[in-house]
Amino acid sequence: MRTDALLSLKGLAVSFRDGRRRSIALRDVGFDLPYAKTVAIVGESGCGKSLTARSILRILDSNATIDSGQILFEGVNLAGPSEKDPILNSIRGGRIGLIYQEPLTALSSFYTVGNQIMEVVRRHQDVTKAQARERAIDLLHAVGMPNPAQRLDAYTFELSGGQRQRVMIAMALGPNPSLLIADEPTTALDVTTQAVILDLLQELQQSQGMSILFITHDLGVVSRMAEEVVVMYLGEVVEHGTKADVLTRPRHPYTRALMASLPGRNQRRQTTIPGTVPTLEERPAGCAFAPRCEFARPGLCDVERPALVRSDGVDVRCHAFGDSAPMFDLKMQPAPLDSVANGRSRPFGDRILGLQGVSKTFEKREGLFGQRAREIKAVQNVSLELRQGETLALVGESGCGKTTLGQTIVGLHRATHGRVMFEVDGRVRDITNLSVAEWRNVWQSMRMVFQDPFSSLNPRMTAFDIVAEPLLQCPGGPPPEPDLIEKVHGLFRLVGLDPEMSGRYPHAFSGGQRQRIGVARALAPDPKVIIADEPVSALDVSVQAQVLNLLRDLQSKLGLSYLFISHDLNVVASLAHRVAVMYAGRIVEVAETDGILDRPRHPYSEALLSAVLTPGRIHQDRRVRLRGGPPDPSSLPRGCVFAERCAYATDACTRILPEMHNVGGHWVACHHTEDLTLHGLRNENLPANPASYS
Amino acid sequence: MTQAAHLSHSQLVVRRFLRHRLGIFGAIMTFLIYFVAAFVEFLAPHTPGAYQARDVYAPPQDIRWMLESPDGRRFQPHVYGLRSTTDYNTGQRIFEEDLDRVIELGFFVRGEGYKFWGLVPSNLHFIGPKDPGERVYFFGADRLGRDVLSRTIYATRVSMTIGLVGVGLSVILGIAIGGVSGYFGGIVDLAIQRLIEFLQSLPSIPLWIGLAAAIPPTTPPIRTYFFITAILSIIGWTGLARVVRGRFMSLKDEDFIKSARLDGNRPVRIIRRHMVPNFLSHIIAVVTLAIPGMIIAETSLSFLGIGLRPPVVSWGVLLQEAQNLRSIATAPWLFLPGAAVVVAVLSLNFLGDGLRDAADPYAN
Amino acid sequence: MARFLARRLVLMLFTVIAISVISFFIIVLPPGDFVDRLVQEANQYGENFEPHEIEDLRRNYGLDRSAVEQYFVWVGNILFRGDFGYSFGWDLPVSDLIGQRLGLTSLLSVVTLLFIWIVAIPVGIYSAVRKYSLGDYVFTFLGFIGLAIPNFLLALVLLYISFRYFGQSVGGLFSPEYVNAPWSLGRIADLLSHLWIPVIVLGTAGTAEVIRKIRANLLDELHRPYVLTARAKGLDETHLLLKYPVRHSLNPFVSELNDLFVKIVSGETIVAVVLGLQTTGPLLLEALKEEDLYLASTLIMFLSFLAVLGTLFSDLLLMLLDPKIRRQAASQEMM
Repeated sequence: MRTDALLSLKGLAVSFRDGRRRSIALRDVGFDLPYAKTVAIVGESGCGKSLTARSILRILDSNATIDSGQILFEGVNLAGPSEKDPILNSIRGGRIGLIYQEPLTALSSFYTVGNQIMEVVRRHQDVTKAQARERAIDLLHAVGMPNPAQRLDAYTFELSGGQRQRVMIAMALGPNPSLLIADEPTTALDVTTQAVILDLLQELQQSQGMSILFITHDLGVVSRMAEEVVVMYLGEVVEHGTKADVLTRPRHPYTRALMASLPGRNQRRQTTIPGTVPTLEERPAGCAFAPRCEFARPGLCDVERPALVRSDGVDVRCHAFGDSAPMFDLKMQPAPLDSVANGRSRPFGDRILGLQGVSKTFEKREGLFGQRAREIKAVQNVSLELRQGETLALVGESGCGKTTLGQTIVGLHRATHGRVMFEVDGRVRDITNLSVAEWRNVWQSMRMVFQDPFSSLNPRMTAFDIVAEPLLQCPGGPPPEPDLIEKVHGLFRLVGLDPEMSGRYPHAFSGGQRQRIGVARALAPDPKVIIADEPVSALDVSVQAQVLNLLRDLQSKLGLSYLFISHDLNVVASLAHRVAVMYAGRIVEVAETDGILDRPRHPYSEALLSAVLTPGRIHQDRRVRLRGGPPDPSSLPRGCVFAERCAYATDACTRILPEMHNVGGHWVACHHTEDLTLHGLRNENLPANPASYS
Repeated sequence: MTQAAHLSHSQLVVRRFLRHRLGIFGAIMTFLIYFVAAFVEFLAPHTPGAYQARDVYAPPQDIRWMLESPDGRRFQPHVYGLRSTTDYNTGQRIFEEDLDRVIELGFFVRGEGYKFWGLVPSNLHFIGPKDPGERVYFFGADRLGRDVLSRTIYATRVSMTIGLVGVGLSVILGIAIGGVSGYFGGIVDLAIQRLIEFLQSLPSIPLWIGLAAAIPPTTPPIRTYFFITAILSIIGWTGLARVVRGRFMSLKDEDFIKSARLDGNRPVRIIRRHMVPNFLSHIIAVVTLAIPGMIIAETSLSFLGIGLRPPVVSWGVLLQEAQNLRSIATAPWLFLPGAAVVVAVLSLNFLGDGLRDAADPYAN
Repeated sequence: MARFLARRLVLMLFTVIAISVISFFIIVLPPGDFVDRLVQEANQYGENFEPHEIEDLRRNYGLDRSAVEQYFVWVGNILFRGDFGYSFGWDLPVSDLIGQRLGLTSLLSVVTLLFIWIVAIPVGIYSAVRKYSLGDYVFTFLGFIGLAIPNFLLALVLLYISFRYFGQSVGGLFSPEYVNAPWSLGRIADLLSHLWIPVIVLGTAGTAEVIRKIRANLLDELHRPYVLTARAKGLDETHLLLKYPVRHSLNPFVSELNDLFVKIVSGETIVAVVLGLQTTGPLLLEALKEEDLYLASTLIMFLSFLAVLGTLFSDLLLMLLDPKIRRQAASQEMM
């Protein structure tokens, strides 16, 4: 054991009780957290990251119990006393602060943020109310809240997401804790906000000398924040080492596979991990990862649970590093390269979808009798085109109008202005004013894939019926039954599902499988264009890679065109041929993917890229950080929508709306683009092929 | 999860419901009560109108199981006849068992004639005195010497169906109006929501009384019955309409409904195939929970003398007998219909609770 | 704030107008009127009215005019002369009849509401926090029973029990010597000593309902992230419960408060009849049976108005409790 540890977990085991059944949730979890360092716990959902954090604070739900193990914190074993022991209450909040994912629900909306900050200060420090107030203002100031004295009297619903997370941090820091547990603190935030919050956490750690236990599923965030990394799988620590070791030379097959399944930059198929994380009740005997591991040795890995062994300064729980090491050869199979390559040079077909000045304005009725109407300009004057066989990504942060634009194109909303040109019945025409009957023809060749694999499938229909629905409802009438069955089974095979499973209901499928069903449904009428709205954002990294591969394969097989809506630039970089950047309802820049990524032309694109975190990449010092938030869509500024937050904005920007114009192959809406040298991602820092570690 | 893989949504709902013990209990009781309501003529020992002046306010008779006779003890359920004397100091009649008069009881006995459902003539009774001329009072007799048990059994049909019919009418109104509100949205929705809020802010019982009092006393029983159900649903629909609209609104924004549109479904099919199955279980639960309110409302109105009126027998009508202190002090068994109300309402509440919890089988 | 209140009051004005229409036409529109009743009664005693006599009677009572006309005359008199019309049955001005009774109805309703709060809120909190404890089961069971017993039946049972076991009648709001006495300290004390039975009868169903609601709401709230936050701050558990989840769970309860109050006002009618209370209930029933137009309409209107006042009250309370609504009200001010 190291002596410089602030927190030390030893053999921690936690189980859940459900009636008479018990299931092991944490098993033999042990690691040290040194003073003034950041240790990150990473893993996919359900691997026990948050549970570890809650165990340390002893705030587990009543159905979870600590069965054995020690949690040594500043010399006190937190696992020892009963949950109600006063010593725990002085440590919780006093010595250990906690911030977590959803700052909106994590704070009470009934009390001012000042009340909630002062409360924790007064609980742990002997100060008067006035002193606590002073302290709260100082704290808000320290976390970079504008107008801290005024914000003290604000309620959570009056703050933006980033500001709420600042309040959470201020609250956690109130009594000067020596340990901060940050449980997915930026997952619910936009990338630009995430970047600012991560900066803040790092500064605070340096100024206060705290230790941080950082819990995240995002390897990019890990590479930005952590000094040491603990990789967890199904409630066990599978690998623990320094960031450099774990992220650049991963040892455990799970860590390797996780790294390999990250989206790369060159639109190749990605390596994936087969299957999904099993549930706690289905914990495999032997090594927990064995069923999904390409190196697993039958008779060993599926029988005997490996111990945590030390290999070159890294702890690994894998037989390949213990006494049985000679049995293994851990050379990873590289992803099948270019078998379906659709590189950027690939020629595209004709224009298949064209948007000309499309706008969508919602009217929100207010007042007792709906007498007042407020206009919400969700999408304004968007012109884009999509060519046959091309993937055009639409990127932007939440609320920028990208989903509305997608739904307007596909006819779920009627465009307020502008034209959407699309081929219907062999004739290219404006589809915005079609009758409902004509729309049905459009929907045969333009389809949509939704974000949430749980709410996009009707829980009352079998997978077969869900996929067959567009065939049954097509304008030409339903096909004869044998054809239908054959077609649907064919679609199941096409998306990599066993047709045998088609009789099941959605609840019986995992998230990734459900998304495959969604894709099969979209493909049913042999469409030309698919509008995919964040199709992989609800999925874990390893499953995300599977679905992205599927989309790539389908494109090359069927010549599909995708409008790929996403907030995740890493995913976009790996899939898209061209990228359109959207901000506050307007497109601010459109260009080839490499063009945008390496040399953005719009200041907003630059800010977005600067916030992107990619594991393995050294993050440059030249960071662009955005202050404030996007403008209110019901009262947009007269000039450039981004001017308010733009570092390069001049007086003209706030007054005159910039037109889209072509600069070096980029379409940009910025007055100053010619005068600026903007920075993108530096391509050379990316590993050429993510699968080449070993 | 693994065993549940092949189950459909409805099967999951059923499975979840079967784990709800009170719900099951409620379901069994509700079934029994409606069973009674279906076979009142057969189950009741006597007809509701039959009376016997000498048995006015006769107390409940105890059932004895073994009969001592010259040939020894044998199994023969029976009661003893009643003998009454009048206490001339208080003017009250005092009943005592006449041990010499054994009234043998039997199952499937022939007794007073009736028409089953008003159609099929019969005189078969599930239980009753073997001698058709005798009368038994398991739960005492009322002011006119009528059997309280038989009357309570007969009342089950009226009271339990009035809840059902009333809720049925409310459901039709509620689904129609709530659906219109949810489907069209905008001004129509706003207007309907304001109307519902307004109606819900009015005290319902004075309004019910106001409407019910307008039914002329001479109206034939069947018409009164329908007037009352109509009156109850005039206000009852608002709650259901709100639920339907709420479900409609939240479902309308679900991705799978959007997807159904993109699959080429017409609105009618979207509603029928994609929306209704998804809120049906919730609606069934809400409807079940609305029936007890209707039963209590009918009972209350009839009790006040402005709902159903004799000769119709409903629990409320019967409880009118218990309206003054004098009669309940003399004959506390007149509360029997009240007990029936409580049991019925409890059972339906248990059932409704179970259904509500089961309606969302994926919730934790 | 003032603007918010003004908007509420304007809305209330519309509601009251609608209420007056409903209250009046509910009585007028169905066939039959007071004169029909008189004629019917007379027939039973073997007397017969001549047709012209009936016409005269109608004219006397103002029933010969069209319903709409009658309505405007009635409303006009209320607005300009404070005259609510004349009771045919009692031969007295309506306002003389209802004044005190309305006061007692309001008093009884408000006291019942307070009773429900005082009993149900702590019990609901206890049941949620000690979920599946013996106490929770007992309260849940009692709650089910409370919901299942109709008010009037509970009143009857209480009447019976007190008569049978305590040998006294518990009906009424006053002892006989105070029924028609003028207000005095003694009369108030007498009223209070009688009030508890009707309060319990009226409040039982509501109490059961509120316990269930608070319990369910609180169970939802207990597992919200903000509770975890509070726990992670090291706050004392009891303090934490009361400050966060309990406070949050009261909000939906307050927003449904008007429903509860409406039910109390509504149920009071029946309970008052059974217990023989000197409130509006028995008077209303009588008036309806006799087609006593103005008395019945005025009573229904006032009862509805009382319920609407309850709605206003719960809106205001919600505004005090919920910062979101408070801020909305404040921002409307600025617009």
